[in-house]
Order: sequence, then C-alpha cells, then structure tokens
Amino acid sequence: MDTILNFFDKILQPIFEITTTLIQPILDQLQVIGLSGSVVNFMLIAAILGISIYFTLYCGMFSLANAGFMAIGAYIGAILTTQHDASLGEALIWGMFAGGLIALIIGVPMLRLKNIYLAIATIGFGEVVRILIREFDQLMGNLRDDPTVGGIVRDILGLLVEDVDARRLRITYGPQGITRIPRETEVAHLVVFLLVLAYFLYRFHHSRMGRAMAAIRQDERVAASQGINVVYYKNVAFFIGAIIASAAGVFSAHTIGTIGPEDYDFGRAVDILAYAVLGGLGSWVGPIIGGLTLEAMPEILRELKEYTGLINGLILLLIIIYLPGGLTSLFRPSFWLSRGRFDTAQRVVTAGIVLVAICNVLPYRLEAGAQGRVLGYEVWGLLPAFISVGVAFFLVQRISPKPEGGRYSVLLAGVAAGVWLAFLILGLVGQIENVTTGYYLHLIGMALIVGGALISYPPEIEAASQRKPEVA
Amino acid sequence: MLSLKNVTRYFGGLTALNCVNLEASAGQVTGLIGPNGAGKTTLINNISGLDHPNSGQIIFNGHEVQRMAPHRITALGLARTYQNIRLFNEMTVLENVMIAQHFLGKSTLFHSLLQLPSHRKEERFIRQKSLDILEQFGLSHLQNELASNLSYGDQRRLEMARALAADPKMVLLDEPTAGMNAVETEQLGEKILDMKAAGIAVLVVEHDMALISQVCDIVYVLNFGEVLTVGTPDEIKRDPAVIEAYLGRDE
Repeated sequence: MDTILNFFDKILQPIFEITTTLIQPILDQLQVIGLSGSVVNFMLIAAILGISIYFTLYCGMFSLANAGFMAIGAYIGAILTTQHDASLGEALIWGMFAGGLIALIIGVPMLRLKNIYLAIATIGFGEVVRILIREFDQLMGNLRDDPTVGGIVRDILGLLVEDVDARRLRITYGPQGITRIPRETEVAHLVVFLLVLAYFLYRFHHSRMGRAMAAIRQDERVAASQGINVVYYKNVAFFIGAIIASAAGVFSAHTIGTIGPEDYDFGRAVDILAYAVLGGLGSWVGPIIGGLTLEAMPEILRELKEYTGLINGLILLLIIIYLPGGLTSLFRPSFWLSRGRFDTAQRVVTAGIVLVAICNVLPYRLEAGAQGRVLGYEVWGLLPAFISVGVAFFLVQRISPKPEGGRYSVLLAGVAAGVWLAFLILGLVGQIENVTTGYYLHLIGMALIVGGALISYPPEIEAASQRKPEVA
Repeated sequence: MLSLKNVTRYFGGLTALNCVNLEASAGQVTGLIGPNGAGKTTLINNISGLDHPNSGQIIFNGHEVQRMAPHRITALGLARTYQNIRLFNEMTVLENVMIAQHFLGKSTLFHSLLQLPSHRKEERFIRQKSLDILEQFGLSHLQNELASNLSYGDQRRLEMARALAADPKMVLLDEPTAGMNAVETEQLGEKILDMKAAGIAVLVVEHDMALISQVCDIVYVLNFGEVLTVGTPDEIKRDPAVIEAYLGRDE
C-alpha cells in the first residue's frame, strides 16, 4: 500500500506543481472580483458535487443522497487525518471507498424505487447518515459494552480509533463535530481532480455505458426491451455519483478544517441539485459551470449574503421556466439562431438579464469596495425587475394566447423597468462621480429587456399559439 | 421458435389472459387479432418480459422466459415495436439504432476512457451496421436528426429499423400500421414479407385485415383473453364466431 502511494506521489507531485503555476494568473484575476482563498476551493468542490448528481440524473434517477455520501467521505477522511496521521491522498482513497461500499449496499434495494419515491428514500438516507454521525459515539459506546456483539464492534472500531476502551468514545464528536482537521486541500488538487472528472464525463457521453444510461432516462421500459440491463446501470450510476460525492466531502473537510453533522442536512442536498440544474443537464459542462457560478455568487454579492437562499431559489425558478437547458444552453448557437420572432424576444430578454447580471458584478469589484451602497440599490432594483419580467413572460407564453396577455406583459415589464431605473438613479445621485461604462452597459441591458418584451407584442403571440406540434 | 402454454395473467379480479396457447415458428408470419381490450398488448408484454404471467409457460428459442428480465429475453433474440411509437426522442436517429445493439457490445467505460483499440473497433462496427440498417429503411439521410423531429411515418420506420438492428430471431409488431395510409401499409407488408424470407419469426398484432391477408400464414383470434379460433386468414374471415366477436350477435 505504502509503495503504491509513494509511486503515485512521485507522479502527481510535479503535476500539481505545474498546475499551480498554470492557474496562478486565473487566481489573481478571481481575487480582483472578490474570489480568493478557500472560496475558490468551495467553487471547485461545488463543481465536483454538481458532477456527482449529474450521473444519477443522467440515468433518470432523482436521487438526493449525495449530501449523505459527502458526509461519509468527509468524516472518514477527517477521522483518518486527525487520528491516524493519514495523508490527504489516503483519506481520499478510503473516503471514496467507504462511500462506494455503502452505495453498493443500499443501492440494490433503494433503486427499485422511482421518481418521487426514490427522492424521498434518498432524502431519508441523508437524514439517517446525519443522525447516525451525530449519535455515533454514544451508539458505538453502548454496543461496545454489549456482551454479545461487543467483540466485533471492538474490532471494527479498532480501524477508526486507537483507544477502543476509552470510557467515552471520541470518533465523530457528536453535534460539535470534528475540529482542527489539517487544511491540506490545495486549489491544484481540486483542479486536477476536476479535469480528470471532465475527461471521464467527456468519454462517458460517447461510451456504450453513456448511451445506455441516456436510454434508461428517456424510457426505462423500452431500454429494457432493447437489451439494456436497467438495474445494473442504475446501480453503476448511483455508485459513481456516490464516490464522487465522497471525494468532494473529503476535499471540503480538508478545506474548512471543521465539520459537523449539520453541514450535511437537507439544505445541502438541495444545493447540490441546484448546481446541476442551474448549469444544465444537456452536457457535461453544465454541472461544472452551475457549481462554480452558484458557489461564487454569494461571495460576489456580499451585501446579499443573508439572502443567498432566497436568491438561489429565485434563480432556480427562473432557470427552470425559461432556460430548461440551464446556463449551458446560452452557449449553443441553436439557442440564438433558431427561427421565430417570439423566440427572438425571449432571447433578447435573456441576453439583457445576463448582461445586467454581469455588469452588476464587474464594475463594482473592479473599482473599489467603497461603492458598495450603489450596488445595493441596483441589486434591489434588479429583483423586482427580474420578477416582473418573469411574470410577464409567463403570462405571454403559458396563460394567455390572446393579445391582452401580451399587453399586460408589456405593462408589467414597463413597471419593472421603471422601478429598476428609479433605483439606479437613486444610486447614481448618491455617488455621481462613479459613473462608469458599466452603467451604460446596464442601460443597454435594460433596454434589451424592455425591447424584448415589446417584440413579443400581439401578432407574434398569435403566431406562437398556432405553432402547435404536429398531431398524427 | 415461440410457444405459449396455458399462459394466464390477471390484474386483480380482471382476467386479461386466460390459458392462452400459441405457437409461432421461424420463417412464418403469425397474426394476432381481436377486438379492443381482448388482451393482445398484454400478451405481447408478457412475451417480451415487461410483464410476467401469473401461471403458464412461455418458451422462446428453447428457454423458459416467463420469469426472465426483458433485457435477457432480448439477448436471446427477441425484438419488438410498440403500439404508440416509443423512440428515444432526445437521441439522434443513428443513436436510436445503435442502442439496440447495446447487448452485442462488450466494451466498458474503462475501455472508453483509455480509448482502447477494441473499443474503437466495436464502435466503428456498431456504427457501420446501424448505417446499413438505416439505408435499408431509407432513413440514412436523417441519421443526425433527433428522433422527435421525424415525421410520423419515419418514426414508425425507425422503430422497425431499431427492432431489426440486433439481428433478432423473432420480432413482435404491435399494431405497426396504426395511423398509416393504404400505400404505406402495403409497403410495410412488403417489409414484413422480407423478414419472413430472411427466416425471422414474426408475430404481428393488427386491426387491418388487408395487411393480415397480405402477410399472415396463420392467425390467432383473441377475445376476452382467450383464443377464440386459429386458422389461415381466409378461414378466419369466414368464421361466424369471429364475426360475432367483432360485430356482435344478430338478434
């Protein structure tokens, strides 16, 4: 074991060094917009978590178990490094091993469930893991002193702690969690790991297994009668997702330095889902972009940190309604080029929102922190604008195929624009000397939003409602 | 090739199939007709493993398959189409056909990660074979189109191409002419006769008597989950019991 590890160490060390030098310029740039130190680590870990849930979703399984696997990885890794002086590499291997093993054991019975039932079962798994970790010391202490199973429990515990006979076991440290974990995770480790995963995903899509999983997602019964072993592939997807999530857990524990059972609650499971949905499930780049973006956002919009949950929810809602393909669909030529003026309107609005979002972030961070107040006004102005435009387009598209719907939507968009401009002007009046090109870009973005709403005016709505799918 | 012995399937109190006996042999087209709700689709689902009978025996290609998982039955050489087209809509036409040859392949994710020669050879082989099949069905110009963008007739043809992609020994066709016009139906009949000539056993569920007369060697009539009669298409058409099942008794 040691020789193998040494061997890998020799190969990997130069790779990490090269990576560190290569990514340094990028890190410098990120620091300018307020992303530094462990934040970059968390962004990369989020990208890895996004990939972990991508596998199960790609196979058509709605699993929220990954927070649980992350907890398993984090705790196994942390126990090894704090109590056994293991290196990060060893912690990683054993963390992934433990996560994978548990995935194999629970996968067989659990993956018989489908859809919402699977989601509930996996949420349950996450909660069980969290509570087991919290009560682990107490539970194991009792079992150890039990005359019948005591011997076996002692043997197993021997793998985790040195002093099995201590009066109070200290393995997971209950609700307080483990502290003083060596903060050994470096950006280079994560970048290399992510690149390996990216290559894995890239090949996966065009592999026999990737095709089979895509088929299972689209129609499980047909896939089965095309000769695909559905149960096997579902378990494989679940297993791969679990070991990746466990690895992310090990990395995150060795980034923060402190872990507790509450770090891996239901909220975490939803966050992981959000990474994948935001980025888009259409391609392997999606979860990576989604994870990086969503984790960076609260750091960039520091003023709104308390409202992270609210904003994340809003973004998810908008993405699911208007960009079902996620952020990555913005990079596809077909998104911008396919025919139909009604679609054009939607695209113009999307471009506007993206532009406004980018401009809100960049000028502020690039200049100085002192302008924080201006940003505060703008962002608050943006929120109603986002909501109104969202509601407007919802009306146009889904509810009313009649011209009235269009007029209301324009009205709403107009109100939104007014509110937003008022806030912008308020901000400008406060600190008028700080007008930069960024604000002109803001105005262009806003004009695009209003313009797009105008293009979606009645005649096109009618055309859109006539464009029904062919009925055979 | 296929033989059903006393196959019974009930859903709660409803008997969908009651002691069905059926034989289908290679190089022969077997027809299965019956009024709506007679249990035709249930029968097909039971044969292909998507559903399992409560009792009775299904023997396909020398194996008992009544309890087998669908992918294993497919590996024994069974292929099928569906009454309402079920393609993989997010995949291209070519991928739809490639997926049918999944179980013929051996390469794992590991092979693909390392781009081993065996993997590339296998991919090339599957791709070429799929292209050949698309060519046969006149779909090769649409190979990179998403399956959902195809016209109805092309989707039907693609489903048929997918069924034949893995060189099956037997094909189950569940109402293949649904929604087709007379010309298309006749072309489809030709395809079925081609399969028959190639030595494939074909079981076709159909309402269109013109197609049944055109292709079938033997026809089973199913009514209320039971086999009413068996015979050649001509005999069936004259059988008073069949006419009664379809049109009701003359008071």
